[in-house]
Amino acid sequence: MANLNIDSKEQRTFDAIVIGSGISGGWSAKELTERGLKTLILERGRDVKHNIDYPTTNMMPWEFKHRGDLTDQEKKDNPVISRCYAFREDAKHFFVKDKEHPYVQDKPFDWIRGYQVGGKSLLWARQTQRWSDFDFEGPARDGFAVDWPIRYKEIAPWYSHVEKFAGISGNKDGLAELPDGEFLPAMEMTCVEKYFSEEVKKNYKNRHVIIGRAAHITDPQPIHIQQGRAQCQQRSLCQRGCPFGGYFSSNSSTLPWAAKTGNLTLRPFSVVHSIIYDEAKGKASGVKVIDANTKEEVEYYAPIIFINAAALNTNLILLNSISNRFPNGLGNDNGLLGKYVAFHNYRARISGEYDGFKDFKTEGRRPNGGYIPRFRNVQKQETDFLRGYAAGFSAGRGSHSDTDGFGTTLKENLLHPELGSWYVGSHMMGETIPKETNFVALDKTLKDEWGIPQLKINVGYDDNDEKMTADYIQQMTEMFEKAGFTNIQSNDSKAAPGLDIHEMGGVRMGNDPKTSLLNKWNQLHACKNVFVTDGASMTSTSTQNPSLTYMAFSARAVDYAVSQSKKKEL
Amino acid sequence: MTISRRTLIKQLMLGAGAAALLPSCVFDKKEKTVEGAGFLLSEDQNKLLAEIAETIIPKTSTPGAKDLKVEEFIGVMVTDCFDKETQDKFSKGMTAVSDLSEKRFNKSFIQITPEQRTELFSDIASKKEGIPVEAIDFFPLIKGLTIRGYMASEYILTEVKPWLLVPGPAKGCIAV
Repeated sequence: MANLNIDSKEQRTFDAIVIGSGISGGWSAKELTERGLKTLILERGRDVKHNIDYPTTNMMPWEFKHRGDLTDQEKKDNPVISRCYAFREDAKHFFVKDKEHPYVQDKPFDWIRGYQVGGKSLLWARQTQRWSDFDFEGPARDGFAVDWPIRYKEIAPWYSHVEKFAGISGNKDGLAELPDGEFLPAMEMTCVEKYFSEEVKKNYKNRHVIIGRAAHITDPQPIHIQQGRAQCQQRSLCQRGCPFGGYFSSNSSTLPWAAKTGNLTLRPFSVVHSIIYDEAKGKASGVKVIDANTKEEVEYYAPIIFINAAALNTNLILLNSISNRFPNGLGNDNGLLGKYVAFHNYRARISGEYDGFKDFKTEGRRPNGGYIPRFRNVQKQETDFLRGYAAGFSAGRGSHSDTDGFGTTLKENLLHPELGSWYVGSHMMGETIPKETNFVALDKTLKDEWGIPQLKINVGYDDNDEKMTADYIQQMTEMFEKAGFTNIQSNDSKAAPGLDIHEMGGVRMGNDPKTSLLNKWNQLHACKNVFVTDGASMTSTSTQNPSLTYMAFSARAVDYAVSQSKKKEL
Repeated sequence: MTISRRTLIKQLMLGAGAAALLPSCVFDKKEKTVEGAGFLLSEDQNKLLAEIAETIIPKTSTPGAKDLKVEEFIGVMVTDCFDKETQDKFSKGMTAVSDLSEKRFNKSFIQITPEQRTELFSDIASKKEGIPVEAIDFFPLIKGLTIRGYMASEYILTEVKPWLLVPGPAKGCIAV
């Protein structure tokens, strides 16, 4: 790559800068470049080109030296990241190494990150659900955080917009609390998932078990073919990167699309230090970058800046953007930057068995599961905790062999496994209440390899979380029992927050600049040419997997930013 | 201070692959690590491991553990993925099996017949009195590794229970 730091200022000036190439940054860049803006993406990690840079994607199980397991040394070297379910032999190269990216746990927090082009869009679980007004109205109705400055009807067309491009499979279930989207055919539920769905409908008024809505192409549309993507082959190896482009990632979808416009410049190895604020003009003028390899400082300039660095990273960048106008971080007049961070409670699980459907089984693999939308406190407050939880639900049938003996008997048993019982399982995804006391801040002395202050994370559970966890276990146990499931075992892992990988907030949206950082357009109240459309913008967490909402926010905010720019309002 | 070559290698925290990078002068021929064996096993120990695995999953009309080189997989997993405690359990177990064979048959495990090996393992598996605890603890460990190595082998996953790289859309509910 050309020695960009000696490029002239003109060569380092763009129409727009996007910080981060992950699931939301890719969308910001796609929408900006489509509108004719010369756009620079600054990605702190290395490039990962679709298909070319997926080293493990076509490896067979025996080709992995440790058959998928991590080595003891890897676990010792990466105590945090090795807790993530996807950090295994086939995808570990898409995760950060703990030692290279230190942070401070003021309270225990497992910060799971993937620093490369595409970010965590290579690794995500691809579950996508729309918010409804039951979610947007949550803070106002239940008296926490601040009122969202938007409602469903404003975001609905943008959900449609991103769903159609990304390719979302799902069933139109007709549920007010989980609006239907632009769906490709749904994946199949298994026998026992369908059975449980019927039992729950029979036994409860407002609880539903549906097939997950997932960002997988089950029936490629022209827009997907144009992207160079094909039908998902249900390999369930998504975390390796998919040669079919079967699931949505920046790498397979938005980034190549943006590049096709001819308006994209992608600069990997660009660690963003801060946003440059022009005190005279009263707006941001650009971004200060530390080259990840050479550690040299380079500045890039643009009249429009989108911060999509991922929730806590975005907080870090803004907190580190100090100026006379903003001594406490860009846009931080009210002192709330970094505060009201929340996450999803993923602590509880439940499992069981079912003795029926003995004459049936599943075939193949499925990169998806069943989903139970939130049923607690939807229409009104009903329990001793606020809000509620969604849940995954899956049922499958394994085969097993009697491995008691050894020798020819054991071998015969291994070669002729028998179908076992159906197994069922569920995990909890609970909304957590954002509070001022859950926050991130810059460490006053510790810095990382690039001279940037380390992030202090001070986020923990509260009493609401404890009550909600107990309720999930109690309710799911009852639902399982009523369906005739046996050997029901539940567990509260009491894991630290973070493994949900849905941390959000710190730069929340709101109507009032005194109590929020962003307005209804994801625009910094106090610095109109800076937009935040990743998890940092979330005023509350609700129960949905958030990435679809980040995509919709990004597309909508770009549309607004560009139209405002044309009107010279930025 | 002189240290053994074995200790030197451990101090350098080398795994199976890295060992190949060491200059050959570091190795004494007696302690040469076997290609692919990984866990600092001598040639003899690696042969022992192969026979143990073969006793657990023998060749019949289809390949057994030795044919599929399961002992190499086991060596790698024990070296790279086990913690120190489990590695010690493994080492002690190997020694216990070896000693049991010498004590009962006056021959090494490699030299005794398949029937004699089966007799030994039956006693270990049933925790018969007199069998040392190191062998009893070792047995589930080595059995698990052997089964895993066998079931995850290319042979099983292509010829017997084919694992498809590209399975295509799954079926949720089909008749058995």
